[in-house]
Amino acid sequence: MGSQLLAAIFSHPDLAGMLAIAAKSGFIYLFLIFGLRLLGKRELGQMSVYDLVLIIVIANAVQNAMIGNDTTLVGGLVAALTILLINRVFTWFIVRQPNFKNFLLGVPVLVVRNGKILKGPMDKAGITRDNILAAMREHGLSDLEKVQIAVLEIDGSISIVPEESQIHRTHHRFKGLRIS
Amino acid sequence: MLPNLPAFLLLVSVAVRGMIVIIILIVAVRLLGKRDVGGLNIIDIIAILLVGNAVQNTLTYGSGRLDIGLVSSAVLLLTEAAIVVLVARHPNLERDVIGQPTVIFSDGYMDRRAMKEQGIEEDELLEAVRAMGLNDLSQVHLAVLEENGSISVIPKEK
Repeated sequence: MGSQLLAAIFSHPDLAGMLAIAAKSGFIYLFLIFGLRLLGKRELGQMSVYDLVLIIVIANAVQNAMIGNDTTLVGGLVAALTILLINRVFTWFIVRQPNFKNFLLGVPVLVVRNGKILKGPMDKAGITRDNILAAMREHGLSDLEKVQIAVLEIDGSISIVPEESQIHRTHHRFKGLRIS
Repeated sequence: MLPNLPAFLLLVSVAVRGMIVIIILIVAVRLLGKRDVGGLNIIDIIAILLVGNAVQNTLTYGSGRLDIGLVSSAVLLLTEAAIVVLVARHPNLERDVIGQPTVIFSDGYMDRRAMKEQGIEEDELLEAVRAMGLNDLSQVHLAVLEENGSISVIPKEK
């Protein structure tokens, strides 16, 4: 009975089965990353509830494609670790390759300069005047005139730099963020 | 496909599997870097959701039985709670398992090596600086990468 229990707990697919699970899981993860990228879903904070529902449903939809009928301990762990490992590799590339990062995650966008909303970049980034005003209130500002710059960050949050802050040289990689 | 075990032993095997899975995943996330915990971006979100689904069959034997679902979710909650208690009692364990805060910027000096090790980019540091309402690093006294992956920025005194 004890050995039966151990066999049930520590069951595993054969090597070919493990490789198949790893390959399918990895393929699906890459497919979703680039699929969502093509749909323009990059900035996390801009994701609506609908986008989040979409991603959760997709994750469930692909479950059987990743591991099929496999119910073993090792099978599930192989799939999970494959995904985490690929995530790590992507993070590694994102840190070292700015172009890859920009492609995958987008760039910060300047949306307010010297108290004026930059309508073009704001519309293109898919945020509204209300989003900017809400971010200003979070920073304790109520008057657009008092905003020196506002930046839509790649995590979707909006950073506000108030007027009285002294401007220094800003990092060159922030497109459209250079301040004369 | 349920293993051919008496009902009680079946639930025992579900519980043991749940413990193994959650512990391995916690350690894996730790080994794969702080960044996977905080500062989530879209590829991290996809990974988290896929990992959750990937281990579903392992946790439940792919079975829809209520008792199996209750046992496996209870075990996940209890294991996590036990780890939190354990870590609180043994601070060194936390250092080994979860990591410790890392200073990445201090009075004009950016520790690029520490940043690279932790997978933090200059852009992310600057983002945290702006989130504090500061313009650039010259106004920063200290920036610390916390255990949860967020970056704390302490401004210079005026």
